[in-house]
Amino acid sequence: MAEICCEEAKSTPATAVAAASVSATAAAAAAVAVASSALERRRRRLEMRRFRVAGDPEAPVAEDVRAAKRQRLARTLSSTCPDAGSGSGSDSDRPALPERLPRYGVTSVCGRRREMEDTVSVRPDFVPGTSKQHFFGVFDGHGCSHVATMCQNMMHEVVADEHRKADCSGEETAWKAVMERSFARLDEQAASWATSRSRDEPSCRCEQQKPLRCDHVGSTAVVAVVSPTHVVVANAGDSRAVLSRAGVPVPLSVDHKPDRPDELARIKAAGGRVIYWDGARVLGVLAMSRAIGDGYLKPFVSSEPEVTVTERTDDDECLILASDGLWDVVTNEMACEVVRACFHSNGPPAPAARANGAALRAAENGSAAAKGVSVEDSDKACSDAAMLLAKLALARRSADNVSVVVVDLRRGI
Amino acid sequence: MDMARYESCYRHWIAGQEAGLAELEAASANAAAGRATDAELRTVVERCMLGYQDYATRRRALSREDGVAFFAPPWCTAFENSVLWLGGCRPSLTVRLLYNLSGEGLEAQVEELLGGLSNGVIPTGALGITSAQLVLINDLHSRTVHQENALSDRLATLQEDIADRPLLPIVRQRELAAAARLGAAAAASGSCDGAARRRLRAARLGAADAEVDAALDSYKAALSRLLVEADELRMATARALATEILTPRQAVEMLAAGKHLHLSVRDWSRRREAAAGAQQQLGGQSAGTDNTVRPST
Repeated sequence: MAEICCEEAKSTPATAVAAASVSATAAAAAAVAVASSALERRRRRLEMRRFRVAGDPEAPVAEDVRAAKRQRLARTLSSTCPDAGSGSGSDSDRPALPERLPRYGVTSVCGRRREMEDTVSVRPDFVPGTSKQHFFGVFDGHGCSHVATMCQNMMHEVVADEHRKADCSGEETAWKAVMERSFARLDEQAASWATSRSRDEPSCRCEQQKPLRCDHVGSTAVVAVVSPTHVVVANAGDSRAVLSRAGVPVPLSVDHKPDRPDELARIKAAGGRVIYWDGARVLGVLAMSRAIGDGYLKPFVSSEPEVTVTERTDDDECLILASDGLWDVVTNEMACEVVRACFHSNGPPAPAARANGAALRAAENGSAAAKGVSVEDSDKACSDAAMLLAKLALARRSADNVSVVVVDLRRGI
Repeated sequence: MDMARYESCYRHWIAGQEAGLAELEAASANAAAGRATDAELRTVVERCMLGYQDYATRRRALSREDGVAFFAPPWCTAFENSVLWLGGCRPSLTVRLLYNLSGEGLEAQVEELLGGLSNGVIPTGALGITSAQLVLINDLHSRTVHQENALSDRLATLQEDIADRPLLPIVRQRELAAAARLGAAAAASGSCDGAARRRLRAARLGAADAEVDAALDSYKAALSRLLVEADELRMATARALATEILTPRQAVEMLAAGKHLHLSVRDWSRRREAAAGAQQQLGGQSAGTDNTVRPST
């Protein structure tokens, strides 16, 4: 029996679907052998999943898939070898798996622009030492993409670090401080990017211009932290977060446009001007009043986020984060209706459907702009909704990059 | 160089475009009526791809003779030339065209979905572009734009290099020689060395002419190589879409739309330039009747 299992493991096919079926076969064999062993193996597989997600959040999707295969193979081998006992010992050291990982869909397309300046960051269980807190971020760069890329790579780490320092227990004021400090740190990082950048990193467009144009680069940032009880949103710029509650869109962020009355007053009080040039622009240049970066437009363009802390309810359906490539052509109402319709079309997620959709989800979530997305964590309904919203934006002739994240907030399923 | 042969090559290509469009439209109608199999549609698509390949091959041979002609072809209208990129259509336009086509019908399907009338089918538009396909199209778009930019940069370098050296030094040299000739003309009448100096200057100018010819030939050869690579990128982008990403039916629709757009723009711009030419003729006639008045064309 042990030899047969080892041989089976060695011949694991490349595709995720086949890998899932091999796993199912192993599970069936285990069930035939001993019921308690089956339970033991299931626990190990669940912990393996948790380990993969928590262990290497930086890994891009392709590597994540390969790592998953390596982990699965290694675990299968160890569980069928004589030293399974010691393996069991090490398993007990790992923290318990959270009840359920988040279900979400991500789409990020260049669209009708020639440059892709949007980035997306999805980091399940992003706070070390705790569970059930998930990070989602959409960053829409302008002038160049390096600030948006920096936010994609670092924002979740900075938020986790500030969260740890604050010993944040969930109060609204505490989260506001965490987010404000996080955005300020990223803003400082953007300002020092040109001087602190590693020699190994390739120079990007803004750096190749003389004089340096790095100070003319920035990014929007709309960030959401989803926990079992709350949704925290921090926003700077004109990307947006919208909650769908009992079919009604609830904005969790308000776009920072220069002609928003309070923003206009703040800019003028600081000695700046808003000039109308194909829309309202700070100093006639930037079409948003807050952003990470844009050093040469400070203090008029602030990086201070507006933070909302929303308690979750049973009526909550989904959270949508997207860049203005979507919101310029699709209303909050329309976006929420589309997601709800996609949820309805897919029906409540069934465990059996997950394996069947694995290959398709791998293709759907292949975009390099969405780091940290785990194939197995993505739910078909959320992916369908995110992709359909992006297609609708393209059909309505959106002229910008389009990035959409849809998070399933429904409870009890 | 033989401009007539180049134009003949182009006319042959246009005739092929028109025949190809007719074939694609027939295939599209058959597909809509359920009378065409995927294999048959794939054959039509492949024939279209071979047509592009044949044109690129013949252009490659002709462009070795005169690469410059293909960058601003005298057989095309000014408008047609204004939308050329390195002697042909811009490859990334194909993706923009596809985004347009894929959006058709989507709005209505979304309305059906929201109204609960779609039986749970996720809308994909009339063309039926799936989520997986959109991801692949987006990736191809990024790669194509990147390669386009690289080729555009090479053209910029060629243009800057030839002006910088050797053309400007030769121009400056001729300016100095002309100035010297003016000075020498005055001195020549009173000096027995005038004839000798004139012979020396003639020798230098002859050498400069050879240098100019060499520089222009080098530039033309480089443009020819650039045209070949641009055609390869055009082919690669169209082939990736038509045979790797899209289904045969989708590929037929995309290729038909592309040919239709090309031929329409050509017809429209020729009609406008013919009308402008007629206007010019009228102006010319009125000028002929009055020697003292010039038409303000």
